[in-house]
Amino acid sequence: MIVFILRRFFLLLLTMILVSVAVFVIAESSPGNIAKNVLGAFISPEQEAAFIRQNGLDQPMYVRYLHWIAGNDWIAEKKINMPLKRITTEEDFEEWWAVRKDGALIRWKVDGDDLVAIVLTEDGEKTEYIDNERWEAIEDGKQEFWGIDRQNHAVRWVKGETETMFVFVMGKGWMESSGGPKDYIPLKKGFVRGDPGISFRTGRPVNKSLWTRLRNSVVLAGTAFVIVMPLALLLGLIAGLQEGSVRDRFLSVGGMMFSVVPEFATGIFLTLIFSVWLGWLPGAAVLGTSAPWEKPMMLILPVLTLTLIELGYILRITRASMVEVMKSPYIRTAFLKGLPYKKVVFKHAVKNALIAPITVIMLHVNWLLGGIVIVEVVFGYPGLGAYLLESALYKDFNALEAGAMIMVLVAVGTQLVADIIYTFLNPRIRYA
Amino acid sequence: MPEKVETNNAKTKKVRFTDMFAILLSSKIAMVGLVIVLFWVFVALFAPYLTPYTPYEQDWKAPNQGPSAEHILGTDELGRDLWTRLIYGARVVLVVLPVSENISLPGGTAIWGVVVALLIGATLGLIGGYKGGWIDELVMRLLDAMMAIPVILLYLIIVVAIGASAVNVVIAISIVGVPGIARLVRSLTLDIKTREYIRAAETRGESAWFIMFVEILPNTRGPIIIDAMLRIGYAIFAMGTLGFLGLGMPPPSPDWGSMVAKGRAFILTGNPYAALWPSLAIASLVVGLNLLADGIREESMRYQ
Amino acid sequence: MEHTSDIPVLEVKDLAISYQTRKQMVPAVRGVNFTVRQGQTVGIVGESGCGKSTIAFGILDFLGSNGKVVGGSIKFMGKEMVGTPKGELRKIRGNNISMVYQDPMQALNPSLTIGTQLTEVLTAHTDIGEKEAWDRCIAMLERVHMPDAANVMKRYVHMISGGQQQRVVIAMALLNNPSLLIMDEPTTALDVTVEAAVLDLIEDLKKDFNTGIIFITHNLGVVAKVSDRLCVMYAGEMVEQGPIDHLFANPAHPYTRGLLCCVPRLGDNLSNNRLWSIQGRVPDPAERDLNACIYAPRCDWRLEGRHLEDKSLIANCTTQHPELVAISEDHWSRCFLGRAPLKVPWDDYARGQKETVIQIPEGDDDLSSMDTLLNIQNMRLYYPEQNPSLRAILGLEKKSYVKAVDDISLKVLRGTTLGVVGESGCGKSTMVKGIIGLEELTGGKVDLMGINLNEPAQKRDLSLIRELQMVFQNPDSTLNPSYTIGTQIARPIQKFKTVPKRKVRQEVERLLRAVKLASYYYDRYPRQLSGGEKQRIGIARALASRPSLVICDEPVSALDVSVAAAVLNLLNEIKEGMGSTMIFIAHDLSVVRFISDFVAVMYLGEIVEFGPVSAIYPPPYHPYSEALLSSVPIPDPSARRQSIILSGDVPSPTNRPSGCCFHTRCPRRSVLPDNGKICEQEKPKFQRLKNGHKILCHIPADQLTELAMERGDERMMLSTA
Repeated sequence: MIVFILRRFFLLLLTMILVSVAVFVIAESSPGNIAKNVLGAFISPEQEAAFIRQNGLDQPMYVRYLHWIAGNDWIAEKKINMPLKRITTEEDFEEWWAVRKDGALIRWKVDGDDLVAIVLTEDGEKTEYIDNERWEAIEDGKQEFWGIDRQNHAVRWVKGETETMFVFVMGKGWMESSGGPKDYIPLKKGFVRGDPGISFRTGRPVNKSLWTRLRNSVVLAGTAFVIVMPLALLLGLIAGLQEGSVRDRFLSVGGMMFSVVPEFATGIFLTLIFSVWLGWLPGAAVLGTSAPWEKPMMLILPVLTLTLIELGYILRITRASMVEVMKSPYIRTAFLKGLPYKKVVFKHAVKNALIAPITVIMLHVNWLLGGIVIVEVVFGYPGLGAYLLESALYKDFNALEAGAMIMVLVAVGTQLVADIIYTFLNPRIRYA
Repeated sequence: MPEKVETNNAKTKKVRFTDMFAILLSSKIAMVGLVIVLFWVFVALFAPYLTPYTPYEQDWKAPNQGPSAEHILGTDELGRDLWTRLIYGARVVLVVLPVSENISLPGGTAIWGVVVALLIGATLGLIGGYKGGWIDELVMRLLDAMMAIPVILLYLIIVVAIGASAVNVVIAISIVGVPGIARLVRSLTLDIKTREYIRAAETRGESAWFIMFVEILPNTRGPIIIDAMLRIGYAIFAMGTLGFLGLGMPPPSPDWGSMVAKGRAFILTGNPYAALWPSLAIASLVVGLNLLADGIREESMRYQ
Repeated sequence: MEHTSDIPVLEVKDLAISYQTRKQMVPAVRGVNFTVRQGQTVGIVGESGCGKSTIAFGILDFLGSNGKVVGGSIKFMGKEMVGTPKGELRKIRGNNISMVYQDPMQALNPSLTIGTQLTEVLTAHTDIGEKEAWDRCIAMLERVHMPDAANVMKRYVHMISGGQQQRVVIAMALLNNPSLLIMDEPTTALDVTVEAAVLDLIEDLKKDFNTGIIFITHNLGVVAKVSDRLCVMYAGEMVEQGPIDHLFANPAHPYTRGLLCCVPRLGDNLSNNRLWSIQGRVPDPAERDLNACIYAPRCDWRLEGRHLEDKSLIANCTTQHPELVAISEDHWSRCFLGRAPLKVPWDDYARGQKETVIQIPEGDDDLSSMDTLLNIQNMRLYYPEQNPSLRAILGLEKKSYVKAVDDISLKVLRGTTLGVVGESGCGKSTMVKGIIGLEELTGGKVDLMGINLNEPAQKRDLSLIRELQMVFQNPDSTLNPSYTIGTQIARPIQKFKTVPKRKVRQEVERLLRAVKLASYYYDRYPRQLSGGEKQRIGIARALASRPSLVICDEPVSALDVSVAAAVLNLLNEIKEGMGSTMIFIAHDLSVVRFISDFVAVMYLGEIVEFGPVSAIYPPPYHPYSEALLSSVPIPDPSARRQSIILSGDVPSPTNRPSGCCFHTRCPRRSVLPDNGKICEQEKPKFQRLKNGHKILCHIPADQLTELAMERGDERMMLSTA
């Protein structure tokens, strides 16, 4: 059994890698222009080129993928010859600093021909001094220096040859500035080390907003899941036991109707009924900065929409499985042993009838994730799905990729869980 | 001695159609589904004759109105007739595929999406299932990986990558549909492959292509037809969703999903119709298709 | 216990059961009358679709939602069951009536341990404690000769073999010491040697438990072995009933006579080449004419009036429904003819003579002077085994192989039929796949008239492919459901271009005639055909390329006996008419004997005995052939013989026993010194006897003959002389 689970685990790992490559390649090779999205439609070609270089987008795809997945601070450390450190400021921004031999954090800027070092002391004070002895001579009598700039890049400055660059300024967005270096390595730790990078849209680390969004989505999906699962399994078993009865017809046809109608249509219907006509519930989920559980009223309609969609699907699968099991010869055996009806159903039928739906339901988490995106958009709920859509429309790659990977991780993870549950329920595999 | 002497030679080929019809008639559910689907097909086919307006005609004097004698279903925020936009929307779904401004193909966007997915998926499934071995392993692992990506994400990524247009919606629907169809066909193939008529073909020295496409494929048609019906329903679902997210047909084409997205803003301000009608349209068509497929599946199972 | 046996355990009177379909109520069973007394076994026999199982489930009141008892009475221990509330019936089920099923694997719950499933039979009906119940179950498992009973209790169904599963089901049925035991085809899914062991067990238990048994089967041999009384069912009606000896000796109903005549027997004369066959097929329940004799459309007596003196007897066959009439005391037949058929001996049906009997020249014990068509030398066919362990996946473990066919050498002579017998898993089908090119050979050499056949079919030349064709086992999957019969027979004709294009249709019709089917079958689809017809089409398709060797893989084992007889006759006719060469694979020794000129017996991928049919069936035998032969159920209650029960299961072909592959189960090795130590150490060589007969055994042939004679096997020897 362990071998079986290990095998599944390796397969899933492989899937993750394949998916991450696919998402990365498709997202990054898509037409459309991030520079224009970020800087506005009227930038000059030079500005665009500078922006692209500054963000490492001129690198070949595989290099970018490697940096994205595994980080590139270790490459930069070699160039700079100093250890690097990432800190988080009080305003929730991330900053990269080099560590001087005495333990102080240091980075640089170029002012004319001067290299200016900025030192961050432990009490949070920044001091600046001219640090020109760090220039190193290269051919043609030029001097260069690898260091850290103020925008979290490892950069190579060449003395006297500065370029235009763009700086993200809080409240103003991306601004043009001078004193730019020749080469950039946009520092990141890499996805597997827990750093999905900086969002182009907000200029803040993706991590920050992602977790809040993820938390909101988990609350939404989790509530729906907790309501749906027992209800759907129970109703499915009941419908399956009474195959062909009026109750069965009602449940399975009704379930089908709810499960095939798109979420946004269900959302619209529910909003119309409950908030426009009856006026009981708010039609949109306005959370602001508060957590979803602080405003439970806002949750009701989104959860109800998700529940209706999933309920029908799981109900029908459970029903079909139950019908099949109840027709099997071993159930006949149990009846002919003279066991009471309840015992036949609960001891002999239910476990076998749940094996099939559990795997299917777990695979369906995939689908549930799609539902969440729509429901979040319909009700304006600030969750991961809405975040993903916004990122996709903005071509905010780091955010999109991070969100996508989280989604895939959830989907693939549930598959692994499904496999494990399956092996436990099914002795044929357990003792294979 | 021939085992059955009486001749009933006349009923041979006709049997299948009468069977099919009997199945339809005997299931109330399938009939309800059929009526709904036929209604939309009819409306979509004859859209130009069923309305005095065009879907783009704006009436500045009457935006956001409820149903009236002039506009039976009301108007949207630009004063366009909702009924007209609704039935032209059905046209895009079921009857025509607008490739570019001047060219459009017969067969709706949803239909094309499913047909393309069927062609690719069935071929992959047949090859994987019949050949087995590393080819199967490779194909199935890739499809598994595709299936592991949440569907909505796949749509997002594909449409973001190739842009929003009718043809791209077809491409997105096809790509998303391929793994499911391939798996279905593969499992059917694995079953049919063990039948003795396949052994007979092999001992006759038939090529792998002959066996896959002539011996196996025709026998998968029953489940595939039902699956395709469900898939068309799902493709309409997907089209609506994409439209709703702003990833469907570019405006101002009459697209149900984007109609809902636009109309949604006015629900809370007192005009629910612009969002309600297209929601109802999608819901009824999808439910109709599912009822039809469900009814047929159930009846044909009972028929055996 | 005299007084208890006065009340019969079960009394069924005029039972009628119908199923509700969408259109109408369809009668599935009617006119069923029989009585089961304590310690008595009543056999119910009939072809598929005759309503045998319906009776069983009717007695248990388990007909499903659309089935219903519509008439008659079922009295259990004198108490009327029809109309009794469900709650009371439930108490009777499992406690007083229990059932043994055809497919034990399906009948047991895959996700509960065997112990759980056994103990609940006891705990559901009595107040017995878990521990005591558990112990009693172990005792019962030991009673049905289950090896390692205590451990089996903790296992799941898929972890034990088919024969053991059936023992579990039997133990389950006996746990509450029921008054009535219903066995529904309990041995049909099992191999002959396993079947023999299970039948032996049933016989044994009958004596101890003194239970009334209803034994349902389609196999006359099996029923003759275990029953005291016999009921013959046809199309939902009981057509004949009587004590088993009496009924087998004097079958009165034409259907019973047909059934008895259409199975080949081990005692038949070898020169027979025709079996009796019943024309037509069992009508579907909805097609039955309730106001006539249901058998009339197929009845020879009515149609041909064979030997019938008083023709007026058959006047009412199509206008009235016959009642059961007494033939003698305690023997009933549902036929207007009454006693009339008894005047004609039932085994008098015409059995044609073989036109050509293969003659082996005197002294040619290598068969070297005969015309060899197919020559197999040291054929090996191994499959790499799927090993799921982690080490194997990483390639650390040595690959092991399933040795499906291991070192087989064989000759097929032109114009003869070679029968290959063996139980499931012995490699007979794999060998054929190797010959026909569906599997690649691992080693050895196969040639057809000197042309090498070692390449798989896709690489073979078309002219070679057409020489080898195959007839398959399962009528339901032998034809592609998507195409008409004509298209499917025409395909090989077109592919191999046996006739010019415009004559294809003519050729197809010729082939249809050759398999006794009318030309209008050309436009039919397979689902419009019965099993026997489909099998004929399969034969026609194989003959279409005009092959020099036809391989038949169990062509009749999935057919009902009356239909199988017609197909066997057809094959024999083709053989004689066209002089075809055939390889005929079967697990049924009587069928192989009927159709073959030479026989090869296979065990665990090896041939253990080979010879002309006249030498295989009388002693000397290989000990395995002997066990197989002794296990064949003979449809003759007077010939009840003791079967040789083989111990243990067939070893896995991955892990073959050393020395002689049969030594782990051989009942004869004890006659060799040291309890047959040589069998474990040394691989035996073929002992070559007269006429190409050879036996793979360490025990000398003369001694094998003696051993067989001691068991009393003369009867069979005489009949083959």
